[in-house]
Amino acid sequence: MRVIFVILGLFCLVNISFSQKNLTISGYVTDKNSGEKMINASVYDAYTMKGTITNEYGFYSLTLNAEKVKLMISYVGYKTIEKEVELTGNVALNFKISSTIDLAEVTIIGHKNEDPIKASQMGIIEIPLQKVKSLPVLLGEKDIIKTIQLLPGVQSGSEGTSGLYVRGGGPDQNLILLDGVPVYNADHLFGFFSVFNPDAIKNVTLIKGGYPARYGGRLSSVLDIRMKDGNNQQLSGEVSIGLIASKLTLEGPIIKDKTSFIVSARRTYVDVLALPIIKAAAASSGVKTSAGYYFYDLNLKLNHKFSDRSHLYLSSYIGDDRLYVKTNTDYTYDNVYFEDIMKMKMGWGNITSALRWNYKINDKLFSNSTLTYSRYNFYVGNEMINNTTEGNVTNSMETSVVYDSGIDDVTGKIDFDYLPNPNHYIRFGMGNTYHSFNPGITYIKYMSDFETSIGSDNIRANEMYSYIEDDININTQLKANVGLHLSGFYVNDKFYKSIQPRISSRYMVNEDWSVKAAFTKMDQYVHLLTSSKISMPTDLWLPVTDKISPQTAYQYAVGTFHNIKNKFDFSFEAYFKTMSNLLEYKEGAGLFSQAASWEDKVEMGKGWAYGGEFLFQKNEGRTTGWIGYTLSWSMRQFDNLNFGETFPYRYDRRHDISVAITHKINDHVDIGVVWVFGTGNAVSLAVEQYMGNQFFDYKDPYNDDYFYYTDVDYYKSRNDFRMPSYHRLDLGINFHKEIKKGHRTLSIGIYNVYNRKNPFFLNFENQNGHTNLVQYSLFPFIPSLYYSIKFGKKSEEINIE
Amino acid sequence: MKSKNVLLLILFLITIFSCRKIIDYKIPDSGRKLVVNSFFNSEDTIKINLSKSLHILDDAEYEFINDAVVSIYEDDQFVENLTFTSNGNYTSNYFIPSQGKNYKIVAWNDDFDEVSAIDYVPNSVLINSVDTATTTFVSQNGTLNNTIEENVYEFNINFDDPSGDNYYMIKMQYIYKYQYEGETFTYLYDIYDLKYNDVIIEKFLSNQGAVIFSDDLFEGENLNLSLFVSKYNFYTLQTPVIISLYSISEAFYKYSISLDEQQNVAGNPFAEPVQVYNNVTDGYGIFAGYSVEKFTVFVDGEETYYIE
Repeated sequence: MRVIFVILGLFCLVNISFSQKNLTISGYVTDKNSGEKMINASVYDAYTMKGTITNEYGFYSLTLNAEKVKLMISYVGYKTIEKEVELTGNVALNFKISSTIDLAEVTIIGHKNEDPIKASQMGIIEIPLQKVKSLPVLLGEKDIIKTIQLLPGVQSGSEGTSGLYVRGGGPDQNLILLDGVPVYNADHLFGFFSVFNPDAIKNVTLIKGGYPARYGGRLSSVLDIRMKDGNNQQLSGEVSIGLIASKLTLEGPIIKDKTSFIVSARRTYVDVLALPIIKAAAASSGVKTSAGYYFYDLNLKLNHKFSDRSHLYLSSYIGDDRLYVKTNTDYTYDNVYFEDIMKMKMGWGNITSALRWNYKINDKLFSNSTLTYSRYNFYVGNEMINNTTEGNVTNSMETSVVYDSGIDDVTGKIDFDYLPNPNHYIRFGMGNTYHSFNPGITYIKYMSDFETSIGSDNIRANEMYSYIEDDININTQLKANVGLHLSGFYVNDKFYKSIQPRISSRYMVNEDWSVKAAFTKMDQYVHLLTSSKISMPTDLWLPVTDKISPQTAYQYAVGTFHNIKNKFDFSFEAYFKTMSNLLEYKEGAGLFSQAASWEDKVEMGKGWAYGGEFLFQKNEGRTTGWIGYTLSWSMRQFDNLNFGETFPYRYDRRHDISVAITHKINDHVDIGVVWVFGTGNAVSLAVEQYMGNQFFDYKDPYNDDYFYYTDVDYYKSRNDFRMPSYHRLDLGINFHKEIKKGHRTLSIGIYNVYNRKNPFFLNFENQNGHTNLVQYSLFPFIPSLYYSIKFGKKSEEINIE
Repeated sequence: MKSKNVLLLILFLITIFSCRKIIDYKIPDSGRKLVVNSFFNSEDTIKINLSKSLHILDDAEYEFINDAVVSIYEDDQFVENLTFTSNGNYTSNYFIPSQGKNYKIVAWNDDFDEVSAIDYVPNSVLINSVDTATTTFVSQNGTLNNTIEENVYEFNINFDDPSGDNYYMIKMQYIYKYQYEGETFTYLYDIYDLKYNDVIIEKFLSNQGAVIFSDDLFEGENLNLSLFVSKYNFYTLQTPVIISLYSISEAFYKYSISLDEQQNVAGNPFAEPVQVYNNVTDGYGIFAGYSVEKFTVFVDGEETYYIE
């Protein structure tokens, strides 16, 4: 704590020395209609040509040496505000900006707030939420992560799943933050859907490289998702019905302009619809069965404004997947009635919570203190009840077994934004996370006389970090984001520490063209043990130990960014990344093994990835969207896998193209088109088979020559084949209509329009004495329907510019 | 069980959604290779089996190679050419390998160029003692329905690990004798359900009912290793139980583990396939040496009476 005061003191000194002639304008930028804080809105003085952007909480601070300023507050899709201000002293100014159409979500196409050409950072993309809502998607279930997968440098893994493989990294190397809280498993239904409900989300930013120093703890990407704060002007909401799930969102003021809330819930109903079918099917076989699967999400957020200086936020996410099977078999034998009841349940889910206090210390210094909790839990349980009834006497025998694994995190952190003058944007802070890993415990109960638990004890660890970064305008051409992230991890009496420099810089060649370069080091203290090629809820998060070292990555990136006629953005980024201490299960281990001695079942190795990413974007006009192309390589080398030889990573994908375009036909109809193409996933295939020798220490007295053989498949190298390439076209059309006190949208979508049979996995199969290679595909042509009603927004205010 | 459930569920979902298509995928064919198979020790003549590999999509039966020239070398000195017996089998006439020496096999015929393999016979390691006790064992093999306590015999095996890298395999058998119409029949049974909780054990080879491990964690030390066998394996009082301690070569070790693992994941499309260790240059297969020491103890089984 003393350190913080010293740093604060220093900054106050710097502050005094800087501000002798300078005056500071500070405040918040909010949406006029909903009161939502605007993130990354631009605040610019047209006279001095200096500017800044708002932070995650809508706060800005601009210190200028001028007597009169002409402020321009802008945000794409919103009307720009111009305001002339005579400066006589420091001034607090809050701006409320209104969208060019009040039904903002319908027409905010694109987000060009901090100009990507002028920003010092690279490898950073803000995901237009409007695109998430208007692009067609599998089964019509809008999904943030599936939209992110359409960006260059990001791969999706297996068909239909919401895994993220960024720049050759693994799915555990993404820091997924929901309101600043890490989410450990972002998957529903084995990854076919992600846990983020777009109705509750305000802003999504993906960072693939050039990581600012304020982020740390994962190697390959940061996905920073911010929930809406809740409309503090009027009660509004949205109800939607899709093919697999329904959603309800409500937001509104508790005390107008001061306290507001948002609640958003989603639940699937496949189980409800399928239950009669399962029952009927089971009844025909004489067993009473009920079974089902569902998932739900609940997002909650409350915020309260004490004053312009002080805001409090409480946000929470709860989500679960549940699977249950119950069977009941009964029969009578020899006048004894037997009844066997079997109940199986399985579930997994996350809980995240954040309590956050924003406090403006002075016009230039903004603080944010946060307490967070994150939990991921997986369980599977079996219960058997055997009842035997003879006459009036019933004997009952009960056995239950429950397996449980997961991770719990409690974090405290404090962050500061310090803006001494327009040439510096300094951020610094520190935090500590207390982790508790549960690698898997089995609880067994037999009647009341036997109770035990088997498994490893929880592993507890402390992860701490501090950082400082500065976004510096060196001159009009050169800008740099320079930072340092320090972290440490304490586990089992062992302390790991790391110093991670982060540098990202931009040089303006001319007004429409910039070049950038970045170097970053990242360290990761948690590993995800994945036992299978697909994402499973049983995948275990485990910490580094005295035997297993932290993962480390160095990334080097260069890029060029162009603006063409103020209409198109074109960028090219090239990257080279090295990764060390990556984990893989030993060959053949893992699938059904316990986590008890997991350290002995894994291999450590290294990896490297390199490639180029092209992105062509159009953000304004009736037709908007992007075309992305990635050319990439991702390799791995483990001393004890593939006989020590280098092999391609499972998601090494040479070519990856995505096209995501929306076109607004008129105010009532817009269409969305997605086309993706990717080189097939890497796969190991046997090329030959031969007789192997099964060892038997046994001499057959009758036939000394007997040779016990078994089949051996010969694999030349791991992942040396490619599945057939992946491509798919999705189309969607959205119809919008104003209704009384609201707005309704009907979306019709088609997934995989030309019914491409994309490979999910390949298998050698023998049929009628003939061996073939068989390809299994998952999703054929699938139409979808989605209907939503928004209410609470005043329709008479619509005016299109 | 936990993972299995999830997998079964996924497979169930896939069968609902997925569609299956035979694809015409070109698997490169770089010709066939000679396959050598031999485990040899210092108590018997050397025997090897030669066969021919098949392309993965070939549906034919394996062919034995019956016309090859097979030479054996001891510490680089030519010893003799092996004699063909039948079905791809070749054997030395009188020659028996010795412990601690290197052997090289070279084989070729008109269709195949020379293939070769080198391995050694490790020195045998004596079992100092085997202590038995009855105890209970809670299995931890990850199967949920099978985690109840069991009454077991504990076999505590003691031996001294010689210096250097050593690899071991332990297998247990019991002798069952019964009398029928005045005649005594003796049977030797493998015990397939060995249980263990010692971390030194690398793997249980389910096909062989053997545990396999290296001396990484007890290099040059005296070792007490406990194996557990359910009491219900033994039916008679004073059942002879034979404990075999195999000293195996590194090649034997790597081959046995990888072969077992390949078989374990076979047929599971979501598991990464396992490559089987191969020590035959320009061919496929295994040429590996071992030694064995046996120790017999007697345990009282549960006497079971069968009701006709």
